[in-house]
Amino acid sequence: MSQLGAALPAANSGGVNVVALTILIVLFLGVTVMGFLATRWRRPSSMESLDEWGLGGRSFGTWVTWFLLGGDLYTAYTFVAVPAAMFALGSVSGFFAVPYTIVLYPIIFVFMARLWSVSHRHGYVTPADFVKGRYGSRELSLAVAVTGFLATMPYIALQLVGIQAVLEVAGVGGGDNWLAKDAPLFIAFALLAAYTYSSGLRAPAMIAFVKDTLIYLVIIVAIIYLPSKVGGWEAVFGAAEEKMAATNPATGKPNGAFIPGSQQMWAYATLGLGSALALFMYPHSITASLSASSRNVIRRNAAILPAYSFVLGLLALLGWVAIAAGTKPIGLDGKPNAQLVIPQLFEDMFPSWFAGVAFAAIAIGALVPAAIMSIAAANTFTRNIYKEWIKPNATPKQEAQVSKLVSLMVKGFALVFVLLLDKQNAINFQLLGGIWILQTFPSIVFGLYTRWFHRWALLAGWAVGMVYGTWSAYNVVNPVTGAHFGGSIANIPGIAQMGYIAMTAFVINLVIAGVLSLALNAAKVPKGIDETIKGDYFADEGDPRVEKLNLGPHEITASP
Amino acid sequence: MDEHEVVDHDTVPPANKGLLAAAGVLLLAPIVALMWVSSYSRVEPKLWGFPFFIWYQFLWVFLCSAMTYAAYRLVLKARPHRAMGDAMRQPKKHGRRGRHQRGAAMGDGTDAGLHDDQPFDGPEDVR
Repeated sequence: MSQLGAALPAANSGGVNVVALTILIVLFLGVTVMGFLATRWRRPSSMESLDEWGLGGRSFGTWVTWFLLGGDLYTAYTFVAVPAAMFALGSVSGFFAVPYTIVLYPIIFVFMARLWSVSHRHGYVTPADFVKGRYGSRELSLAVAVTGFLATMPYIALQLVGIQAVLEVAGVGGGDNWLAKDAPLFIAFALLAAYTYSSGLRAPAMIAFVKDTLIYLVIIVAIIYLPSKVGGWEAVFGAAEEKMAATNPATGKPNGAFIPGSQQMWAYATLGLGSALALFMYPHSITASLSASSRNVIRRNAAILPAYSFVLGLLALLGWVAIAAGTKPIGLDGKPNAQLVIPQLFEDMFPSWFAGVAFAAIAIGALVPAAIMSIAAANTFTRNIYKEWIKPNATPKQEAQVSKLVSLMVKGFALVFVLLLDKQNAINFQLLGGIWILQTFPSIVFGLYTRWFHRWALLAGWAVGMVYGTWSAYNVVNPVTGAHFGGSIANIPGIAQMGYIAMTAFVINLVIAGVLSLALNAAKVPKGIDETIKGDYFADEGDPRVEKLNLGPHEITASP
Repeated sequence: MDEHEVVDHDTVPPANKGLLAAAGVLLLAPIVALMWVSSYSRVEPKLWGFPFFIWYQFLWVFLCSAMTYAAYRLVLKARPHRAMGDAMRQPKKHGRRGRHQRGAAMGDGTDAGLHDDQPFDGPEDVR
């Protein structure tokens, strides 16, 4: 806390919004204290085991799960990256998030209940656990674990960009040396790390209530108040259409798309579908789903979660409200930075105290998912890499310790992403993670239905998909800055249309997995031992072995 | 394990295929509608100033929610839970009764509030 106090005077040089900043800090600290206290909430007898620390004892019911999923899924992506993309590049780059978060739910409805059942029957905590049990393949399981770990990092980086955007607009930071400029980011990072470290998943669940209340308050005010202040929705759409049609002097092309043109429909559709297929492959999404108390809670949630999609769409449109309002998102370095557009819009249009509340909503809204993501990535590392390949006889206490340490490490890697990579198009962080994580889809989801695919064929398809996806993404060069990894859409071979690289890589992955499975099955190459039975995929709360995780001796840890 | 009981658990529990197919259609419809971008990428007709492109997709938020919920009810009906417990010597005709019979089940604390006036209540209506 004294660190924060020390950082303030230094920041006074650069147009600090004192009222907003004070409220931001007070709310932020309040939530942090809640995070520490959360350890006491429905306190388990011990926080020492991975089960307790990572999955909150798996005792969450429908409403907690609902908030947890919301906190998990609608993040800095929603209120910084998507509106920024709408503001700078238009609907194809930003509004695809709406169809993405709509088609998401029918998709998870279909397979997630199965994954819940089989995971609870066999004590799986991560997707890699399931892959190992289903295919009897440590190698395939390692591939899934490494991909989950890797793909989570840019996603956490996106959250840190969100926090940084808020602090930058509030006037914190600035100055010549990099340490002073990024000090607030480091402080936010340290607080996040501290409460995640001390209380695991319980902290984010507790905070999700506060966060969602704050966010809904800010959104309702923003959606009703802001458009009327800039002349109504007609004026908003008029200004957006005009800006998108205008020519960008740097590229000689229109700034962006007001609605997708005939050459952009594939891009819009594949971005939406690819992101939807990818999302529930992330370890953090699966962790949250497995936290549900029964198989049907997940399906019930799939029907009620779209409320968040509507909110996401309205927030996306705030990017266009900012166009009508003439918002100028200029960073502390004096250069325009689209990522700052929503915080800047709030600062320009709201009274200072409410801008502070809004900033807190955005910052905490980025913090919670970052915590959940890093815990899930750490669990994956511990179970599927450390225990499987490095130290098979680790005690539960050692596992929990490694998990905590790795969750810090993951945040550290994400911090490196923020400091090194181009933050101008933050939505691309998430899309890049999607390219990688989608390559695990065949092993996980197809595996829930059939053993026809051969484990080595799936591994080969995954490898080719990863290489192709990474290579294609590297070759997308930002036309203005000349930087690699400048975007996530590229020409789809054979169609002459632009599309999301993840989907192209996914199709290549599938073709290879299919063809090689035919060959390997015909050659009778051993398929590996499947430890699951068909009934496992339909098990529910109350069936044998379903209520508790089978993780080892620390099972004595009482469930609340 | 109980694989050697009367019920062979290495089989897929019986289901009403027709109902499952209906649920499948309900789940597929939003995906097809939204992936067919050319059907809605236009400005007119506007609604309260919103271009068709925008409000049509917002509309699908609610349609998709309703269809997913309908699919949820159909799936519960189509495939009643087949309990895997040792005590169950034969398949039950209907969904498992008494979710609390095994003592304090997980999630009871927060789930309790759901079984009142909520429209999203699940299994108990299906019996």
